[in-house]
Amino acid sequence: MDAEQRKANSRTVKKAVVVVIGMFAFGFALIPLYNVICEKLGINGQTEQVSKAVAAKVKPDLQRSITVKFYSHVNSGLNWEFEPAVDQVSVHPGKLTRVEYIATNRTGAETVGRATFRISPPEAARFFKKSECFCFTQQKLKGGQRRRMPLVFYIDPKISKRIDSIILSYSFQNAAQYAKK
Amino acid sequence: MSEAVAHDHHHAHPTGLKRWLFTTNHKDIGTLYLWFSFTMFIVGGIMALVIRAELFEPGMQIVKPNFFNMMTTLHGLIMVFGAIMPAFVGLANWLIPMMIGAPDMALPRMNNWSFWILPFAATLLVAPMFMGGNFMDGQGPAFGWTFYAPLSTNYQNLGFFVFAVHLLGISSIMGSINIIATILNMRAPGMTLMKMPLFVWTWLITAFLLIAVMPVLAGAVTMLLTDRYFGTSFFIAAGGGDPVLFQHVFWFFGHPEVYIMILPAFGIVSHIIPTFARKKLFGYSSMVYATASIAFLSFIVWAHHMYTVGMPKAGILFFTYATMLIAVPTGVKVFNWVATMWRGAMTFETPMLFAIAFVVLFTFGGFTGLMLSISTADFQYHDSYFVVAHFHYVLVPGALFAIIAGVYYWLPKWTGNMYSETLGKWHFWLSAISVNLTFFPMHFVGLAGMPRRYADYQLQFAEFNMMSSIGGFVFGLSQLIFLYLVIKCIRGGKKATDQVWDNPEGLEWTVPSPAPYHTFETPPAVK
Repeated sequence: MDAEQRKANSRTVKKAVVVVIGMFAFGFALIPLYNVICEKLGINGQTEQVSKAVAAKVKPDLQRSITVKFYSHVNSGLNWEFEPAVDQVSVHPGKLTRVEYIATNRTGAETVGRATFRISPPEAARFFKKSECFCFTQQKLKGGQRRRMPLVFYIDPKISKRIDSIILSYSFQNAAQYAKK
Repeated sequence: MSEAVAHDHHHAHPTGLKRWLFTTNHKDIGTLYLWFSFTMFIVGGIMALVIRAELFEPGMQIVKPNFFNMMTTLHGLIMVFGAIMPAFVGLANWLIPMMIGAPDMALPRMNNWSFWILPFAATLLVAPMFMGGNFMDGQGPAFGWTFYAPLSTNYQNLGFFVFAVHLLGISSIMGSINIIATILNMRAPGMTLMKMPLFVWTWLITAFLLIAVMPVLAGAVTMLLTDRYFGTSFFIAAGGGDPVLFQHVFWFFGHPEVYIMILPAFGIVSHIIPTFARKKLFGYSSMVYATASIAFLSFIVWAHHMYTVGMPKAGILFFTYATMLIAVPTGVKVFNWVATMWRGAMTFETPMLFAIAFVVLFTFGGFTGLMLSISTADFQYHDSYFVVAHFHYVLVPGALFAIIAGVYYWLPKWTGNMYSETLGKWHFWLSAISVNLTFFPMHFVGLAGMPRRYADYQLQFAEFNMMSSIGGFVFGLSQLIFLYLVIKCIRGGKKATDQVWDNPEGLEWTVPSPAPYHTFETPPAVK
């Protein structure tokens, strides 16, 4: 191998190493990137949190009604009982609605849970606006404690005419490891 | 083409174990890679046979469920990272310098290092299998080769797995950088990019895919590691993370990875078919562009592995159409191979038989892939044995048959002796029949609803599973013929000519058989 080839090789290696380091960083950057891109495109299945003031200004569309069904699920790591107070409601798009879920700590000790949710169909997610939700924060329940947890929402009247029913599914996981002190 | 330039050895090189430990010679390292890969192929193959033995009949017979899960997981990981990928790197080491008229790889010492990391990585990967006292209670990874969070983050020996993957990643990144540097800087004068043999082209593109996605895999396992041990929550919902995001990151690596395992196979077949059809390869430049298009598309189709996670329609449609688009460049390739054979003076030596089987059966696997790309249909096929059948068709009679074809094709050049054509034909026919017996029935049980990765199944799937198991054992045992044939060929046999075959194209056929330890120390002139 002559000197020129050696130099060319070391240049190639340097470039390749930059690519490798860049792609390693890119792997981590994918986490925020997915959130940002999906949010911009409105395809992340996330719902928007709105203030009460904004929610109050929306005009309900009294011509339509949409059925909203409430599901609940508790992951195996958490010994709670967790159910919606009502299984489903029929709402006019734009009308602010308040429902409740009821959680009971079945154990004798204090535990921390965190709820995540999913909306079906996913296309409905971006029209589902919440002004209050127990899912925004961690929930701490003392041993045997029972809590009624509110959810205040409205459905954006701009939602596609084809959607006449939405499923909202909450799932609680044990967040003891991540409890805020 | 220039005449062969063969030199006697300049320096005395070490013998025995030291020769292999310290070697920087591309041929030695290629040999090491190929033997390592064959060893892993046997280890992963034994695991596959444990799986098939358990599934021979419904009910639990031989192993415990967790052991079964460990077998499916390790079988997948070992075959992907231990058998298929190192085999291609081994072939690259042996062949690329000889094909482009270079004296050796660009970075010979790094080459040694990238090989010798592999046995340690493999040891780390399987070590937890032997922890837990009783062998049947081994604690190896049992979460599937795709190690989805949060199942994998709950695994107690995750550290072993993560560092094994890191080492495998480092090894293949170093190997790829070496291949890129060799191809870009070490070509003989006159060897322009568009004159490069297709194996070199496909490997160049594969190497770029590798340095682009292996670091993403390294990132993904690092995130698992910190989630498990350091309290982060990239993928843990309880801490505010998102488990679905893991699948996105994993498949962003995973889809290019499946092309990493097939592009060099395309290259090999594009060498073998012209030789035995005695015609020039049809559509050389379209082959190059098709390979590059497939590589590009591989980056924008990852979510077709996860149609059922609950993506919105816009996402599903995008990934469906992008995936179907891959059929176009792949179709170009298949067309070119068939057009090369069209009216050729064909003979059917063992490498050609494997290459033709590759074209037919890989295309078949491609068609089931096309079925899977249809998102609405995929909701039924998802995580069923239909998927298992699909990817085994592209990987076994696809990637593996191409590797075997390549070994038969270049073995006389490596050893200087012809292999036994009779044994080769036995190997081919037993493999080709048994591979179909193993995997074809899986389509049916998959469509009928048998889910993958379970140690037991419902009674109605019994007959097809029994067929698969018989096929699996025949396939496994017939690979021993291959081992015997290769050893016999290394030890002696009819002397091979320098050309070996009937007027094959490529610089590697201009050096003597067996290829001397050092070749092309003076670069050949390429017209």
